[in-house]
Amino acid sequence: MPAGHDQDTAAGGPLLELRGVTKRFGDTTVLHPTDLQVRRGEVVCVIGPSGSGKSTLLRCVNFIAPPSDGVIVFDGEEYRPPTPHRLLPILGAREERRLTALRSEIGMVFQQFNVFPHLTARQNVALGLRKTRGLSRAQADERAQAELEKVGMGAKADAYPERLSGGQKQRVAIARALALDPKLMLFDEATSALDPELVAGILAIMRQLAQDGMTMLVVTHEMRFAMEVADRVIFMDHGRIVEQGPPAHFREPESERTRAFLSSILQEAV
Amino acid sequence: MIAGVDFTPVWEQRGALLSGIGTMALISVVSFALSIVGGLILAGMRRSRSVPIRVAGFVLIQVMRGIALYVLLLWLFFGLAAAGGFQFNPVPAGILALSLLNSAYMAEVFRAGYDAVPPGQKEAALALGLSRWTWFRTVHLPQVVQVSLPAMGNVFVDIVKDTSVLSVVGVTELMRESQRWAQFYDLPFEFYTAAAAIYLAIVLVVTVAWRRLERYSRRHLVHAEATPPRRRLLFGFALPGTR
Repeated sequence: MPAGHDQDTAAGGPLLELRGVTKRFGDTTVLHPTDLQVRRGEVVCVIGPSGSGKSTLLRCVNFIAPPSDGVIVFDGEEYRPPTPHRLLPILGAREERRLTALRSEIGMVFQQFNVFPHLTARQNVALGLRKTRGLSRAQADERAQAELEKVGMGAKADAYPERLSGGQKQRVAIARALALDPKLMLFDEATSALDPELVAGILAIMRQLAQDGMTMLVVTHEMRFAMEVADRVIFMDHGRIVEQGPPAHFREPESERTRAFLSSILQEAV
Repeated sequence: MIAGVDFTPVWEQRGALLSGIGTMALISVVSFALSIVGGLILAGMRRSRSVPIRVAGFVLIQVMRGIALYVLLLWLFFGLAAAGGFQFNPVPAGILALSLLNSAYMAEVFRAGYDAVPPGQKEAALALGLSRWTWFRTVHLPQVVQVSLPAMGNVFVDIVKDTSVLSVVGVTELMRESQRWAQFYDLPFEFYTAAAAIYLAIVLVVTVAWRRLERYSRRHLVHAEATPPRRRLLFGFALPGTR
């Protein structure tokens, strides 16, 4: 366990806990009832074939895709699926404000970067600082510049995303998330859309983040990264956690499905 | 030789025609602005999480798209008054009719714009802890407007030309003035030719200005190093063969 956390760290207490979290779209269940705990400072990598519910799991955590069922406990606070107010959405305003506050404590990095194309790199990072942390424009710009420097994008602060490479866009997206000092970082296949030569740079930033003690939930196809950086690896298939354990455990996985998946991606790597 | 073609009276009445142009411009700009507001509201209703609001938005758009400007104008101006309702002045009636109908078109324009913004933009904004309102204002709307600008320009041009219909309720815009003086001098060819030329010129000016606005809105999407060589332009259109 990395050191350097507040007093409320409370002896490896969980920062995030999922209890029976389920996601259904109509008749299809993409995430069967799932329990999961993530301790403060822990790095958890989620692996599995596409369509196995990894991304859905991540999206449920910050209610970007609200779970259909179950409870999420984050930093001691309980969050449940919001009640849909089909007639008067205003009735859900209070619940929504709570979720908005939750999301500002959780950083998320996407496969497709999702940087805002109409804003410069600096404005991308400053937007959240101004709107969720109440910083003035000048303060936010200064902080944004500092965050961009940290990911090696200081010189590109005035560039619009259109002029940036995929790797550079992802750096901006990471800076944007980290600027809010999140307690938890979610990475949803952050390197899958990158050209091969740009992957290493992003992984290096993520590795550094893990070393600095950030709590991370990482969906990835980079097995080497998972083996080196993760405290725990989770294998998912068909919307369920099939198997989990420390990276070493996955040298000799128990489940046949895990073994099949691992050998298939290892072959790909050769 | 066409017998007796004489444009002198047109020039003599330039003051009246100019005032007609002013009225047209005022009505066009106000109606366009109101259509944008109305269009945003209607498009927002179509996207509401509330089913009744969505249905209301759909019905309003369909009704307004299905009514002709001429019919709505007469209904508002003469119909309502005769039914013991409200007597509009000509200009407000015209602005209201133009705004209502074009709100529906604008709503369709914005709907297409909404769909053109990738869903990941909203996810990223919400994941950042922005409220829905802040997302809409700072992330969504700027991108919707940018995508919608070309189609918005078309609506504006339609509004400019459609102001001519308002002459039937006595709005003294360009068409009304032209009619009046065409009858006064009994020179319909001259005055209506002038009117057509003025409409054409205004539409061209609007088109060129609008293209500049579009280009400005895309300034961050153009690669600096890939800027094409300067083209020979006529009214904002590339001349053939100059690519």
